Amino acid sequence: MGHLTRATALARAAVRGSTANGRRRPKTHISLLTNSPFARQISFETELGPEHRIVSLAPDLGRDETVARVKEVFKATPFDLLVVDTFPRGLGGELADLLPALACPKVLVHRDLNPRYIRECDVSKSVNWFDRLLVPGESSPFGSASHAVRTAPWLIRDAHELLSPFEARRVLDVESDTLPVVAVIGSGRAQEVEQMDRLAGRLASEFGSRAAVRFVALRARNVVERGRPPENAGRISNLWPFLQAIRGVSVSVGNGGYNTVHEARVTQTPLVALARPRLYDRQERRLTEKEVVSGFQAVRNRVAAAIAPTSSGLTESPPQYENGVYAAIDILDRLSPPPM
Amino acid sequence: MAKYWEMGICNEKSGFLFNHACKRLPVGGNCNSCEKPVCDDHSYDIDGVVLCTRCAMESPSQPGQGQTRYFSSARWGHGAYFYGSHYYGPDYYGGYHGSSHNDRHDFTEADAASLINEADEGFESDMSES
Repeated sequence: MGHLTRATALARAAVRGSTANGRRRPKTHISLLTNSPFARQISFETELGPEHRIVSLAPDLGRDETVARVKEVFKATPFDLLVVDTFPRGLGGELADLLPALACPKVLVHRDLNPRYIRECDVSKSVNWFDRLLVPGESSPFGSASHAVRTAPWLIRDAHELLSPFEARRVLDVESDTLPVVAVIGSGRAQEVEQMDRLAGRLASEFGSRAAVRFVALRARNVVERGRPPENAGRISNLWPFLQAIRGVSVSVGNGGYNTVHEARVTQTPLVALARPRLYDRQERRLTEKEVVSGFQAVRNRVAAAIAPTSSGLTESPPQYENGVYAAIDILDRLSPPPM
Repeated sequence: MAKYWEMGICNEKSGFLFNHACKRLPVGGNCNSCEKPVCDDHSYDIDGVVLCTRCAMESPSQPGQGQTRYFSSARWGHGAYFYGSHYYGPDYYGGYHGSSHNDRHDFTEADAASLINEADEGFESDMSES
């Protein structure tokens, strides 16, 4: 989900008619290739407009079939610039056969990577296939390479696009304008989403009289049917992207994934985060001591502190933050000037 | 495929958020369905048949979604609850009332480590990592 959100954020900036500094850009056509299970639940037409191409591979394909499909898509898709998120060799290693022979400019979006992946898959060699490494707002193993350029974090919404606290609360189905809102974000692996769902129920049991607890996930499920005691169930919000409603939230509880962490930081929303094990990155490195927790009591205590009457609460003034996607688009344009 | 159990300790895995290996001693007996060695906390007498937590959850006697059924447990006396496919032991009530005691079904530092093996399936072979 994180990769798809980041890719969509970049694509949104690419299809705009002008850059952040007002420079006009010609029309850019996007082809977005993903095997994310969430892809079919996102309205790309709303995000990007109608004339772009989303290629969504079935998420349950095995490695060999995924690799074969990616190669087919590469053959069938004309493109002037290739942007690869995170995996320099592709998710199944398929780009090792494709990239060295590809003539167009190639860019890798480069965030943290597991050193063992770098070692075992010879990633140091692979990053040299790319003309630029774009480092979206966090330290990364090849961030100091000569062809690496760091930007601010990439966000799926600009600051001015966020809903006001009052509008956000309506989206989160919270009637009160004053009751603290705890958003438990269901993201990551299916098992983790289920755990966060249960965590939301438990926080609702603990804090139900003092706060509105919402389980926020792209694919909402009926928690009552899943067996949670109905009177204590944290209500659910089928919402993507969560960032648009974050100004209505007093504290976010989630994993240490890229988007969850950076969205909380740029909007100065308190974050209580679990560092989940990942094959390719290290959530524990992304999180600060102030953000990371490892047990329910710690979650409970941090949430209690965040919703305490003495905490600063919601603010009327919108957050100010730089969205790194615009700097990224400037860099892409310099690599491959679009036809005027 | 045959399932091999570690003898002498409870082989059950359960938990509120993450599954914990129980490994408690002594073992109270074996599940009548899967033969898993289980401690008293993780064995349930359902219609006269002793089952482990998982088999009890999958038992045909398991009630429908949203219903509550009480299972007798030698140690707990009043038994654990199963809500649908989820398992709520008596410790769950500590959470309801804001107790700060350390709930053995809570996730702990050890839980994250317990998931690492699940994540570590080999580079460029796990297509779900996108």
